[in-house]
Amino acid sequence: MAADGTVTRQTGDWASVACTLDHDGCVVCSDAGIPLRIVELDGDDALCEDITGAQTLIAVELVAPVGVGDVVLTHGGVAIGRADGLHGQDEEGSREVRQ
Amino acid sequence: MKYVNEFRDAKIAQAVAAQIATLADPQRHYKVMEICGGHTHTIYRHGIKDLLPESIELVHGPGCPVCVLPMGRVDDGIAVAEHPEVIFTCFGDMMRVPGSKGSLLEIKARGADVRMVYSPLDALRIARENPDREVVFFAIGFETTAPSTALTLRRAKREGIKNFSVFCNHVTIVPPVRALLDSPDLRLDAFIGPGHVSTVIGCRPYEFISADYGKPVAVAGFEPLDLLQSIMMLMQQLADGRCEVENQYSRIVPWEGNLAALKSMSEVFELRPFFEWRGLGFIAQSALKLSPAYAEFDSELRFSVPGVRVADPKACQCGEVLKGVLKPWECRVFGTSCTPEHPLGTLMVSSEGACAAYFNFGRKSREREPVGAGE
Repeated sequence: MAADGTVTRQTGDWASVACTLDHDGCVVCSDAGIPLRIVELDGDDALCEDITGAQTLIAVELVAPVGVGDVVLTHGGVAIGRADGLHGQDEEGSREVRQ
Repeated sequence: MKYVNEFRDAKIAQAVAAQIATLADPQRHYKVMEICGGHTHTIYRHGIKDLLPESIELVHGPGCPVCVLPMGRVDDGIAVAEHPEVIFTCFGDMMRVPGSKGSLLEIKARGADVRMVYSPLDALRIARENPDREVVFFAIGFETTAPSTALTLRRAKREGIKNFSVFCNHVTIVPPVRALLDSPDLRLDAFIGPGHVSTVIGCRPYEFISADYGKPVAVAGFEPLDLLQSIMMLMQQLADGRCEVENQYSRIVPWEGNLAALKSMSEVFELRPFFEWRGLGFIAQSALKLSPAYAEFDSELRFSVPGVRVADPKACQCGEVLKGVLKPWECRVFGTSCTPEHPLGTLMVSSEGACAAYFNFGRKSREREPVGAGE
């Protein structure tokens, strides 16, 4: 804390990127949903990679069926959602609203 | 960058902020609660609050499971971890949460075998690799996290693993929101719904908020534009006199949720009759325990736990902050004896805790609103 009472914090490059495997925030909270792309399927698990290319093994049985190239939302090593909406909707952003 | 830059575009953010300003009645004071700790983090990290008109106040909700865990449950976990045959596993944030006699990190320093894991599946792997030890996983989290614990327990049962158990502290999001709506302390106008919890439970569980309490809800994503757009949707509803559940985060959240995950949870868990929440007290049917079919994996049945209710430190005002009655900087120990490096209260531990988020990212607001402003 500085003498004038303000609080400063060093931020690295992570501050400008999305949730990745290297920085996923607080894993017990809801914001740690990391979108990962499936690289290789192995039964109920899949090798997935994030936007930086980092890879990890994710359990995908709760979002089956999935295929290589699909984007899944993962939390604590488990895929909890399919990010189907990311395909083809990115140009429009999040404009779609369900009434 | 795909899916990131699109939701951080400054020009669009300014346009949405201007639209919010036109929708907000300057004669009125709006209290909008973001339920999820992840949203609190985004609001402070990206300065969302500074883009909003003075008439809109963002109130931080109870959506950080580490923050709402009472000290007694931390003590119970520590009691299990102190068994010499136990390898105690937990998420990283949980290690530093203070109990009445220290944290898991401190007992690890004293020799207890406490290990940080990224996933409950990692804990199960440790159990496979150490058949002569008892491996316990400290399960905590809302419906986002509960499916991973459920999936892990199903695999443990399928593989016949006997030396693995779960100390279950999973909680559910709807009961505390209802408790807040019933609280006489707090008048709220609208809710920003949690994005990734809703990936699992869908949007339907929030319909009571609009149907029974007449408050609009917008389920939101976690990028700055997600939050700004959800606030705009809420202000539009209020301006129109509508109260509905809307899904701003439809690129991720299906309206009906993830049915496979819900089925997995219903097989493995059942509702506890009541559970204590820090700051909110006991709330009926607000937490999960293992179902009879999975009782063999219940740490609370396998080990004796004290189960003692422990009061928060007197100086700590996490409860008031959790209920949105106090702002983080209005707590008497904020930034002095309670900091992220040396937390007194849980809200300063987790990066999604309102106090830690404010401490790390709330510089501008703090300059504008001096400590004690709310007194």
